[in-house]
Amino acid sequence: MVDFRRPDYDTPRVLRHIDLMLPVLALVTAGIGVLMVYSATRGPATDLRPAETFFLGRQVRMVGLGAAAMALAAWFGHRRLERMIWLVHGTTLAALAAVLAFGNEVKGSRSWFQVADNQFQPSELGKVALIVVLAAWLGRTETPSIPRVLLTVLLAAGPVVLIVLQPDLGTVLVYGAIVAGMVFVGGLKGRHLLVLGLLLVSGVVLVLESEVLEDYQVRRLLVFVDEETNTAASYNLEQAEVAIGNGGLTGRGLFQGTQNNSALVPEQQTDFIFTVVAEETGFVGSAVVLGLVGLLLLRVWRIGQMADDRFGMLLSAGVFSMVSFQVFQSVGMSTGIMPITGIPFPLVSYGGSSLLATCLALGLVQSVHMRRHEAIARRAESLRRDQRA
Amino acid sequence: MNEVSRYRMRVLAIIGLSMFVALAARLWYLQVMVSEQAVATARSNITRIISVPAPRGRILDVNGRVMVGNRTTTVLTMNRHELEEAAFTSDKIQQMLTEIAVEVNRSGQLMKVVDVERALRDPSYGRYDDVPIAYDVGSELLVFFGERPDRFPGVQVAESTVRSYLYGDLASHVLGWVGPVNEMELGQRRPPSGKEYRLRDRVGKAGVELMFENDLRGVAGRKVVEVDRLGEIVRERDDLFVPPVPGDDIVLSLNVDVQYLVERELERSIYLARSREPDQNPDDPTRLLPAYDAPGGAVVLLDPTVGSVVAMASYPSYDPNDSIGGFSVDQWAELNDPANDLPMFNRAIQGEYAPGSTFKLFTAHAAWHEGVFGVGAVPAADVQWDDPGSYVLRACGDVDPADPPPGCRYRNAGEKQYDRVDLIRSLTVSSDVYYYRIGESIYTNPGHPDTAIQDAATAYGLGLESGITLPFEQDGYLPTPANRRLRHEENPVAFPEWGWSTGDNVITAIGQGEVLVTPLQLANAFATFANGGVRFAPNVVDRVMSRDGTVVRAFGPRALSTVNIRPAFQNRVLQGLAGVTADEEGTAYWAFNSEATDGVYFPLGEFPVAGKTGTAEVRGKADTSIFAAFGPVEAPTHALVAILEESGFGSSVAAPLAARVLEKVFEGTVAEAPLAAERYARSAALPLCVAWHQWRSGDTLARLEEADPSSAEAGGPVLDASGRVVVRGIQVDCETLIEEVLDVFDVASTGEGSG
Repeated sequence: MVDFRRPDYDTPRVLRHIDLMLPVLALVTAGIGVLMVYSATRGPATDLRPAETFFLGRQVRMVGLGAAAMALAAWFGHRRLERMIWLVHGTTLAALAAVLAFGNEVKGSRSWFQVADNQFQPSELGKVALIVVLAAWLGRTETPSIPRVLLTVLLAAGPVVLIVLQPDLGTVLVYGAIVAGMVFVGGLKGRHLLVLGLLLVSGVVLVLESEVLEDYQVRRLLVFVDEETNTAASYNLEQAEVAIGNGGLTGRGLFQGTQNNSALVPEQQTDFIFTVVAEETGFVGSAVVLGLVGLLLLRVWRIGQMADDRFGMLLSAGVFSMVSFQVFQSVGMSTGIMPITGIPFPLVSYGGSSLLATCLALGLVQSVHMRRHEAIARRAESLRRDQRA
Repeated sequence: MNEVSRYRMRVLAIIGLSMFVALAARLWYLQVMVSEQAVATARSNITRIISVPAPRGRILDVNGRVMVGNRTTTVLTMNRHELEEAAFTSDKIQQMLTEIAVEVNRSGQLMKVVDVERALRDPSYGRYDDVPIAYDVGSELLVFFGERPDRFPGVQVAESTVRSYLYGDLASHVLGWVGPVNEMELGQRRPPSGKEYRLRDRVGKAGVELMFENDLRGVAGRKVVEVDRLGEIVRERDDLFVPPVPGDDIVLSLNVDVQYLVERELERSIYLARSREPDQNPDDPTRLLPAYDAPGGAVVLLDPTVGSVVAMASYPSYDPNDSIGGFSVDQWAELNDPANDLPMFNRAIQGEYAPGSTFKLFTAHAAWHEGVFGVGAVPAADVQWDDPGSYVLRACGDVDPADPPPGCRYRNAGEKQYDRVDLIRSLTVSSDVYYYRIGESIYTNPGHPDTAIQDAATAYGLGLESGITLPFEQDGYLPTPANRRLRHEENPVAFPEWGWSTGDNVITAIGQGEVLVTPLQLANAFATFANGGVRFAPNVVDRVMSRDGTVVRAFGPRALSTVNIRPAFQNRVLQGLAGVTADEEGTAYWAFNSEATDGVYFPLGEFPVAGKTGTAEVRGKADTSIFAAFGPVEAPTHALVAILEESGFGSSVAAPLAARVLEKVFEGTVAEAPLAAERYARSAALPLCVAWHQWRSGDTLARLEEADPSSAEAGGPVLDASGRVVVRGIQVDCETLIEEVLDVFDVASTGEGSG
């Protein structure tokens, strides 16, 4: 029963319920990310060659843009999005189809739009879109029926297939993690989950066996299975592990990482950014960064638990799954416990699309927190109206 | 909101938490537990150690003037790997190499395509190394090749440090040269720690460069750089920089000015000797004696008081600067061609010559100290008797003195007769008969040891390595009955003679037969007599000095033994030898008292010189011209030996040379030696100066053209109205130059007339 004496329920004021921890943690993490991106891209900075600040400037601007996006998403609200999920889903599919047709091909993958000197990766924002769509779709019933489950799978399959075609294995895995997490929390029956799991495994095998994946991607996965495979891929892993180990307990010091300065780890400002964190700030710094993200995830999870409807809860669960899997995969591949597939470290890695997507997702979670009393207030309002009548 | 979802949210949280725990555990393992390994890997991963070559020590003369140093030069290199990458056809490569050779030649270095190919094949360079092709190329090549990387792939022009012999070919036999270390040297040399060799390091190959290699060689430093994964240098680790330690300097006892004077006089004497017509054969007037080819010679000037080498010259010589970047194929062939009289052969210590009459000093020493004088057929030293010009061995028995069987009759040179010969005069006039008699008596008289002469010579150091710190020294040869038999037994084919007869002793007494000495040995023996009997091992190096000037090692006089010289004997010999230059009948009188025969008016009053001429007969060739001298007689400061192959009498070539050298040395008027650059400037300026001289005096100097082939060389030098030419920044004054050239030239022409 609703307690009518609490004044909050009378006049729902969303601003009063802003969760400050969420943006603060996000911005602190992003700030550390800016520093790390700078360290990874400034170059050796000798007298002859001054430090490179191009990437620094861009990342700072992207963090600003991300903060604005977070605020915008929180203001716009998740409930308004709930009503336009088909539009959201349609746009996502259209964008992913368009990138296959008109995108830039880099290293055998077609994942980017190039506009002037800005790149845009639709699959990143697609993650948030999928979370919204699935949350809305699964949120409509307490225990989804079989047709609903099948439709859920179909909904997710659309963007996943398009991304497999790019191909972008890492992002596909993130999508998989999102779907898994949300379906699990969404209340599917145990046996349905089992069937889905089997489907997933056979799907992965199918993808590996087919010729959709580029050779290098398969090789990278094999490195994970068999560390003796002496290829360029194992070189990446080796250098990443050396960089992390080189950090030791307290790190080499900011800008002092030798592996970093010598650019021995490839993609060190994006997918392998954690090696820079680990090398220059050591175990202590790594733990701090992981701790910050962990606190952020705790907050997201807590907001999901406090949400006043299934949609908000599933939204938080989706964001939780996405961020935690990305962190696990990104750090895991750098430390050699996960296969090497390029996934950015949320908020820290260089790259506008990823940062923007994470910020939008966190903005929506914020919205869930801000509006967690709306339903009750609305109900109280209608009750009061009934009593008056 | 159903309970299932809330429950599953908690499961999700636990999954997330376990992920973080897994990551933290893995990080702890990597960063704390096995971190050391990674730190080590990281260090080697990105740092490369680059060896910083240490400058080689310099070689200075006794007055501290740098004779050998180091300089930076422009070097043209090629990279085989890049050349392969370019995948040129062999025709195209050939064309490219030809073009390179053409450009190098245009920039002033003579080079053939073969040389380029040979340099490119040098096995001591790896596929990825920049192989030096040509040194001292013009810096304009930097632009030329830099602008055409597609036509000349892998060709680069860079700076490099090389050895610099500042005086060109001066003292090249003493200084030596350097070249890349070869397999054999890598295996054999035991360098001190820190000075280990690596392929392509330069190592001394001859002379002081070789003997003092361990001192001259510095300790290479190292530079640690961090590189990225493409191998490009990212930054230098200044904290790990180990600076190279330059090699130590070698200070020679050589005086560069005197050395220059000696070499110039030696060269001039060689030219003089060559300009002489061969004499008629006295036995057969229709035939000529062998020509004066004068293929080479050597001069050694010692300080007898400490046994150090003041000058050591060997003709012909070579320019060690040619060894920079390796001798070219042609140069090497030329230097080792016997037809060119072996320019790399140091005649001063490697040349072995019969000493001729200079050996009489040691025969006299043996006779005096073994009590030969006044015993048997030998008159007492002060008894004067007439030398009939020839000598018939008593050992031949009672034969007709007018027509003795062959092998019994020995003659003075030209069968010259001398009256009133005693020990003193025997040296002054160089009576052979006087010494034939001694030689015979020593061998035939059972009261005298058979090898008294050889023993005396050995005491003075003949037949022994002198112990000079220069490589490849020869020890000469003193024949004795014992070692002749030994030699025969070891190699009967090459040495069929095994017996020893009185005749052998007789010709040994005048330094003929099988007696062989090196110029240094002879000089050192005379120095030993000059200083009263102390035999030193000659020093050519005075001290080893570190770059900051502290003495690392000093080589004091190294007395090896003493020769007991009785004062009465010493006085007589000094008198006799001084007479050689001062007495009108002395064999070197005209060299020291006239300018007509290439000699000088020597200030004998102020600086009396003791000398002994030697004229050694060589079968089938002209005589070896020898002169040994020291002075001033009372307190000798210099001992000199000049030996010129196939040049004639000691009195006509070697003695004037000694007179001209000693005059300047004693009077202190030795001119400053010009640097190689100055000498080049002078030769380059000569054509312009001739033109200037012609314009000023109307004398066309046409006669010079034959004498000086370098006058054809024209080019950059510019003449101004006051008669000065500037060549590569060095000013040449035409008036002095022409005077000097004419001086040398006119002396040479008078020499021709008198021959």
